[in-house]
Amino acid sequence: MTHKFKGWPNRLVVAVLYLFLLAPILVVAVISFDTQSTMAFPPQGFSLQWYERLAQNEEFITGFKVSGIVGGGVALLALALGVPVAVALTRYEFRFRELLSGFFLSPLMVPGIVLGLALLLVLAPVGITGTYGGLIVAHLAITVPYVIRTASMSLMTMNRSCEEAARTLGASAWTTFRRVTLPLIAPGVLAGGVIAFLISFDEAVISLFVVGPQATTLPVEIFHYVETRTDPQIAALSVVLIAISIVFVVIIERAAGLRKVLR
Amino acid sequence: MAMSFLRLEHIVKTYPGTDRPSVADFTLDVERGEFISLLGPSGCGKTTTLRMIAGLIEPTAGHICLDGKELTRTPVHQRGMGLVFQNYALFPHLDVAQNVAFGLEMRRVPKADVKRRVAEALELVQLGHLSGRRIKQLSGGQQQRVALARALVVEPSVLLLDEPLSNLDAKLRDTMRDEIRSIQQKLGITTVFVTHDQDEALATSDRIVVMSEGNIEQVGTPEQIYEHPSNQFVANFIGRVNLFDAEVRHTANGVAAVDVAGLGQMQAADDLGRPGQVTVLVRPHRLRINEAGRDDAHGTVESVVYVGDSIEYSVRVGTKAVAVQSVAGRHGRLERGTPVRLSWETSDALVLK
Amino acid sequence: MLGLTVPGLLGLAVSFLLPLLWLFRMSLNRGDSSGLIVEAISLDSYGQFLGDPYYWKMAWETTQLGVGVTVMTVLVSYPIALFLVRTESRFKGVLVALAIAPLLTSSVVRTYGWLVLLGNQGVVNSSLHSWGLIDEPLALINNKLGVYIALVEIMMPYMILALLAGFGRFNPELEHAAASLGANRWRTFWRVVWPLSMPGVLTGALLVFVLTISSFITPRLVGGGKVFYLATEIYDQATATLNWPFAAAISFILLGLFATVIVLYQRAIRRIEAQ
Repeated sequence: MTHKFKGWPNRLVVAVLYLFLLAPILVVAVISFDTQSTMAFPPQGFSLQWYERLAQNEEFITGFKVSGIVGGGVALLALALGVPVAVALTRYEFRFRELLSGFFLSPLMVPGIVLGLALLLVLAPVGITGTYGGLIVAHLAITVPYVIRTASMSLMTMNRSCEEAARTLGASAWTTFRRVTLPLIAPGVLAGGVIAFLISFDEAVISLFVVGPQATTLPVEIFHYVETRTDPQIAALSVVLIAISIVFVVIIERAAGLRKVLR
Repeated sequence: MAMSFLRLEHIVKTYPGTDRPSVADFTLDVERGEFISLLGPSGCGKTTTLRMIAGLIEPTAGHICLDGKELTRTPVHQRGMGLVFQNYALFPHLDVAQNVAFGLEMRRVPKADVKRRVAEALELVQLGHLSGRRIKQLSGGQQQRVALARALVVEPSVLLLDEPLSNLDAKLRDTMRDEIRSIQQKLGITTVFVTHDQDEALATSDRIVVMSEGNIEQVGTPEQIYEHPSNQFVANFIGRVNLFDAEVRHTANGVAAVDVAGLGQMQAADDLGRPGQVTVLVRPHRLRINEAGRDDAHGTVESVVYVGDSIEYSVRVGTKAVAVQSVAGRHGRLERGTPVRLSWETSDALVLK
Repeated sequence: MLGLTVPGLLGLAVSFLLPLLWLFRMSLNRGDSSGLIVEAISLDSYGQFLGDPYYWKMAWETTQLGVGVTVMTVLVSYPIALFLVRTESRFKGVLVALAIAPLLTSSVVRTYGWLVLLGNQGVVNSSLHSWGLIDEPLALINNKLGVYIALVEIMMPYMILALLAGFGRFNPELEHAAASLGANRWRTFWRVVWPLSMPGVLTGALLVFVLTISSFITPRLVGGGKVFYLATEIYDQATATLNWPFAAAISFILLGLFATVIVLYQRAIRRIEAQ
């Protein structure tokens, strides 16, 4: 009875749409192995020269390191701030709970370009633009909501009577959290941390305002590179980044289920 | 009167946003070593009461005292009570021994003692051989034993059991029920047992508290509750009953002459001792059934079900279906449609409000 | 237990609330194209925007972009989502993963992919040329068309996710039931499938609209600096013209556009739920 998609015309439609969806990634993968240096098609031959050049591109390597360090810092800080909020929102009833929950999600409703400019206005006078600290602060607002969401989901689905059991057995609220709650929500917390890292690692727009000569993230380096040049070095870099994403996707999927956390 | 061990004094719990209290003015004295059941349908407030004793819920009003000391505001982790949950609530990330050891670690018991006491507790519930197992590898019954061991190992002042048998299958339930009772008697531990199952309550308890809609309906021994229910709710909730509309003609010395609708003049035990409209309670197996002539019959047999040990009849008396359970093989079987008379021993019928 | 939220609140205050307040204060200053900022409490920057038909047109085109990309994204995502809900293929997991995996690829990278696809010597033009269909390359980048195409693709995974979530209530049995009652395919679709998928469509549409009108990287790179939307204008005013008060004012006008859409969206939801 799934007649609409049993027939080949419908399958063809779905196949064409899949092709459209995956086209940019596929084409990037193909030309990363090309021999010619312009963004032209079809490829002229097979070579790894762009990967070799990539390995020697100091700006990209530094950007990669900066993004990695910033992403790690953002993930840790977002967890430290977000997990307690998730506990408060899921475990306690208090006034303004809904309001607070809305407030913590609100940064996702503000365009990156606006938040970037706003952060520049605050961070520039303090002199922390272009520093790791500045970048970490800048990425905090857009990552904490995801940590809150994944941690809240784990907290809501875990067996709450385990916490009560620990309490009746003599554990204080803090000990209960440390010995029982945290181990049980660990997958959700890990997923939240990985998502925070990925968002920070991929973030380009906010960073555009907050980077500086001392610390520029990889997406910003790529943006400026593509603005001026279009050789397949970017394609090679993209393939490397896609490979890294796949590793992370597998981690999240194993830990919590990708669809649940992105919803 | 001597001070009781666990005392609940005018406990009230009203949840925010509700007008009717979940527990209304609950007062109960539990003696040391007593096994007491809170029995009632779901929503009657029994679990709420238990959780207030444990300290997981704060009462809106009233006092909870243990061994003469006020406990009402003591936080849950300082109450030293053992609670066994309906869904076991074992820690899935710890193995059996670690689960049982948890409460001892919280009390900073020395390592060597922890090991010994965990082993003893697991022996007590006959799980000594499974101490290294993960929780997921255990059956439901085994999980319940671990939960019991975990609650008992800390030598709690009171053992609280929240419907601990309801997730087990029927056969296992009876075994676990008897085992819980025998462990309780061996340790002499004061126990509060929450259940909606009358058989569990009757089989285990020293006393039963029957609850409905936040109120105590009756407190008494299983025999008192069964034989002398104080009202129709209790009568209906404990075992099967027939309730007849009746009018008291005369009452003296605990025996009333009553005019029962459809049956005529009968006698029944009467604790109330006043005339007027009443209800008469008779359990199906206390009713006698005899074949009768068309003229003097009370009603006719409407259905006959043979269940091995006994035969269950449904007898139509006027508009009412009366259940009768009679021992099989004694009189042979009455056929459907047979006109019958019903009768009872005076002491087997009870006048209720 | 509000104490638990204190670190989070502080973090958000520093990284979100304070900057936005600062930005609002900035939008009240007076600025000019020389980069000079005059401390003031005035609505001059807002006036400059609202008094200039050029910016009205830009706001209108930004809205058009949002609506256009949203509608097209629904059209191209719906068949994939419906297929994924219905399929009993053992590769279903892989197909779902493929549909949403692009989310985890940086949009800068995917935008670069579209430059390669749509460029004058790109995949599309060179293919058409080699098949003899065109002599001159089609202008697919550095214009609005390219921005639309790339944005639709970039938004697809979000829409598919929202649709899949919305289809949670969908049971293929319903379709069978409708068909067994004699409904033909189209009637089954419009009377049963489409209404049931409405919540997912609306959630996805809001998300895509919001992401589209705030997108910057794709309009900038595919538009090649020749296509102007509110987001790119904010960047230009802030980094090239250095008129921060004006950039700040445009930011709040963009936020106002957001708020309007969300209010309209909630009304639509209420009307649908009332049915």
